[in-house]
Amino acid sequence: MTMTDIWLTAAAEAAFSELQATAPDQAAAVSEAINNITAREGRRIDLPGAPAAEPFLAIEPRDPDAPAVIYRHAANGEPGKWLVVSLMNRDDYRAARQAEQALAATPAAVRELVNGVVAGTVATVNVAAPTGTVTTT
Amino acid sequence: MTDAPTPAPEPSGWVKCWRWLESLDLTKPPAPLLRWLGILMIGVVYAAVGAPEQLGDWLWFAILGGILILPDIAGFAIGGFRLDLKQAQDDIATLRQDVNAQARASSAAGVAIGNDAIAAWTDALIRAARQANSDQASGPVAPWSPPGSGTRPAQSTARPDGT
Repeated sequence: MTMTDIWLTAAAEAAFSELQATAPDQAAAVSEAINNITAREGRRIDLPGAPAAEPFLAIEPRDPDAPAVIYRHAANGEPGKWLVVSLMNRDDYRAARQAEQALAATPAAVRELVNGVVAGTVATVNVAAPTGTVTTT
Repeated sequence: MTDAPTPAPEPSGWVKCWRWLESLDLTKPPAPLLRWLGILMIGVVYAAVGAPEQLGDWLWFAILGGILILPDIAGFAIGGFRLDLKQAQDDIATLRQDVNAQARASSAAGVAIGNDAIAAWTDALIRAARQANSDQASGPVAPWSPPGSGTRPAQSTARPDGT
């Protein structure tokens, strides 16, 4: 395994750098978790936004306060084998896991409703264009 | 000042009578017993009065007997047309049970879950999804380099497609 098998998004890179500066212990735990990505498959987490063939996976670092590592297999055209997409706040990660489990026991209509709302929100975030300047002549 | 709601008008006697007839289930006791007693009465009248001599006189016996026996007819066939009333009745009963079961399940789920729980789950998943998608659109920008493994590579501005 080479380290070039694992790539990071800008957000994940920035979050890790910030974590190193503010909580080195947590950063070490996250680093260990990322190193283990190639050794063992993470736990699938069904969140919208991932390519259809490459669902998000998650690894929880040893440190219970450290953020969870959210990653996925690299899609076609992306370098490496794995892409760490973000470091997720641990409380938010646990809440999402609990919501996922609770939703699994609900009628399909409720699941579809919630998933639809979540997917719609993420889609809105993804298409939100940065403000810019338009010059007309 | 608001007007008091007008009470619904009292249904007429015909309406009451029709609703009562509609509520009768001729397949449940004591209706079958009464129906077959009616058919027996037709036989008794037949024996007492004697067989009708004209075809038109038979008609009323036939109609009355047919009405009394109708709920017990399981089906009938004329030529290639066959109507299985029992089967249709069973299908409708099964369908009704399914619909009722689904309605009960949805109702129970709605009560058990509640709007607050659904809102909390939705909120949790939205927060997680936003974090997971925070910068995914930019794609991979830097290879992973664990701390202590040497100099961290400078963040690449190159796109995976080589641009």
